[in-house]
Amino acid sequence: MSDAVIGALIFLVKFFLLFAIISVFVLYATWYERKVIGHMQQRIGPKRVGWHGLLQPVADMIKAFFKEDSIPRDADKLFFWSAPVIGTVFAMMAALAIPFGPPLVLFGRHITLDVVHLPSGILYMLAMLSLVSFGVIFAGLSTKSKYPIIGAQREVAQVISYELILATALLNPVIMAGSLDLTKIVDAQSHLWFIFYQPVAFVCFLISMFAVSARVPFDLPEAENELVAGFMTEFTGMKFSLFYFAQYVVIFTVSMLAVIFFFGGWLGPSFLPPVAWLFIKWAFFIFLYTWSWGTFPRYRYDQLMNISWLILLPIVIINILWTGFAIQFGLPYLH
Amino acid sequence: MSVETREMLINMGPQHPSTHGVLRIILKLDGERIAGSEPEVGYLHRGFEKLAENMLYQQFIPYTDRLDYLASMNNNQSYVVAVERLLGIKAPPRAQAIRVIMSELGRIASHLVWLATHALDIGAMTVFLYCFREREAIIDLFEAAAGNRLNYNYARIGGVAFDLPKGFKENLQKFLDIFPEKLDEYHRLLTKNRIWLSRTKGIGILTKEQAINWGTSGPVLRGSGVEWDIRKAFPYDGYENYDFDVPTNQTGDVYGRYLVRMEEMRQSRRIIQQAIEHLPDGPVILQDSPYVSPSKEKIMTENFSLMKHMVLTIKGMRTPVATLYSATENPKGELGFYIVSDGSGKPYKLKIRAPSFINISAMPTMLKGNYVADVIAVIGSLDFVFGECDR
Amino acid sequence: MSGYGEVMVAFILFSVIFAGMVIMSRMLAPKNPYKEKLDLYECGSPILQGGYKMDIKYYLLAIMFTLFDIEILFVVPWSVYARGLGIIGFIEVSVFIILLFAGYIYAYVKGALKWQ
Repeated sequence: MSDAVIGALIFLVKFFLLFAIISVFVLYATWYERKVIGHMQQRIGPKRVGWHGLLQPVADMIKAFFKEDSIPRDADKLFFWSAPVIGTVFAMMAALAIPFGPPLVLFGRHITLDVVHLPSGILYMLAMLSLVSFGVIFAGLSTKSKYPIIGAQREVAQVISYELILATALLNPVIMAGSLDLTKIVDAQSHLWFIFYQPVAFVCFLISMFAVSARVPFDLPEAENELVAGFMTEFTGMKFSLFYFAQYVVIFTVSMLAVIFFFGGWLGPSFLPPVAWLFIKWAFFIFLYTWSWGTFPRYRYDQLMNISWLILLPIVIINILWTGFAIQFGLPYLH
Repeated sequence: MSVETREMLINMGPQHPSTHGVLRIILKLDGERIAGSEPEVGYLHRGFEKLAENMLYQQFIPYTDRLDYLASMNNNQSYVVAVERLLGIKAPPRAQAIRVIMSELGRIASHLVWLATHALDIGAMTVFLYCFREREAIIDLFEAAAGNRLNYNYARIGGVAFDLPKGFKENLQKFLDIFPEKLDEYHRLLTKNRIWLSRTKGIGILTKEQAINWGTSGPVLRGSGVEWDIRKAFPYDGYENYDFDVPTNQTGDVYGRYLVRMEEMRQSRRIIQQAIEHLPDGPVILQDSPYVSPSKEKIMTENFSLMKHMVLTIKGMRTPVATLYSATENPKGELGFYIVSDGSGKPYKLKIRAPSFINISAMPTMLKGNYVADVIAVIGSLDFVFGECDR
Repeated sequence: MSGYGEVMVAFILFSVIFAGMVIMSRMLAPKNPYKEKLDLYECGSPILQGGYKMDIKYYLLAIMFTLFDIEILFVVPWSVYARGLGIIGFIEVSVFIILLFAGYIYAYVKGALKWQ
């Protein structure tokens, strides 16, 4: 077989492996969240379908397939159909560039553990994450219904405000590693994780991470107590599920980003394989999402914007200057 | 050049997750800001006031359960106190004390549901389930006493239906012992929470004058700094014998009303504690009163008692010809019954002053200039129940 | 295949998979539309006709976002080569950021950033 065919095969294997990992994650994240939050609230969560409710997500998925798919009469059909697909596709696209471990050498071939290896991986991922919100915008505007429009309007403003913070906060590790390549960023942390150098950037990243994935306390686009279901109000069945799918994929991706940029990625003591370390650290962030869901009330819209523009933005910009300064003068906290 | 713009009109309710039943508010939105709002009520109207004209006084007691279905005990008490005032009788001391215990428990239960839904509306999901856990203990107590879990039908004209069951006092004491801890837990989850503060402070302000002018009552009025509590002003069922404070808050915002209700739960616990410590002995319903059916045993053994029971159930009691307004302090506010009696066993006219209805009417004042998200905070802080508002 | 070629292939694959899921559910699911079901959600009330007014803040926000996003774009190349460019590079980028920050302060003073 020629080299190109093998390369294509490897790509396909990695692609479907990633697809499988994320699908299983999304399915079981719902189960896990319901279970954890149930125990936080002194309930037991799903218990009926399968052992401790383990088959519940499968049942939910089957239900989504067989649920009536109703389209409002006044809706713009093309955008109404494409909205959930666009959101999910771009969320998955962002996940393509996540490296799950150091490059492998297998049968004399150099295999990277990300589906596509890009020299400027982080820029690509941020771009794809921004595009996810197009699904939401289409969803909100195509239905011509009032609650979805308000939801979409909130999503746009929230996402653009917080992606700015997200991108700026991630620049600090980039400055320190001197590369946009995710693998090189992890390698740069081999002596000490960036969280210890960049606690401020990490906190800003953490806050904007919750906002970008629209979860409590920043779940305003779909704030169910105000906007019923926000931009998803008119969607049913599979389309509705796809929005959740997209949201969980974004959670997956930004949690991975947090681990890669601040917690040393797959680095860890060698008694566990690197991939295991990556997923252990990542699980902590997934838990953080559930924990905050069970604890916090929701911010109001204007407060959310004020946090972004009046507090976080000056902090991250000054932080960039400080990092640049410290790097030039080799201040003691940098090697 | 001028561009004509129109505000967006949006329906909130009657089918909306956080309009607490079937309230419909027509919001006029300018962006996300509220330019005007108009609450619409009446989706749960069942014509209780008219129904009352066609039934005997004692037959209306179960209907009062369906007013504010989160505090049925308080409604029962409110109604029977009104009829007792009409008849000029008073329940025996033990019955009064039991009614006080029940209605204060009902107040705690009602406030717990308020806190649960209010917090859920603002997004704090866990508080909801914590509150229902404590409410469950109260409902169990009610079930032991009255046999039902939501509509108790427990109070009677001249007393209460049954004496307290065995073990009630111990279970109640157990609840009273753990309750302050739980209350602290809610305080820890919300009171100092930054997000909670920013969502509730300075939102939905109702000034003292506005609160009085709109005729609001209960925690809404006290949250605006007016110290007014029917239990203190016109005591009934021996409330004058209990030592408790009336919490007020001067701010008049959502947070003020939140603090008032939280403190009221503590005060209710205090009242119950005093009531069970000094629970008098004796009958739980008036004996040998012309308005009260005799006990089952007497009906079965004495001819006169049987006749009296028959007359009371078929023809009703002979009431004085009078008009009367009697109000009690419900968890939601001043629940009043205006009774016009023509001397027969059925009220000629019965008008219910529903606190929820009047508190809702103050809502447009509170909402103006706030954001959409504040609507639900204000709705939560008004704590209305539609069974009562629409009657 | 280069990295971006693979991205394109992945995009097509994902589109096919997810569009396929939606279409498949369309074929599998029952269909029983009637007038009320196809109405827009309006909390169960008749739909109120009204205009749509958007806060001017959103336009300001969009402008501010563009401004700062471009700033980040200019900072990214420097941040990759921050060590190599040395003091001069740092001073240049500082001047750039401080200029933009002055703009930020101007916007703040003008009240463009406050949502009140």
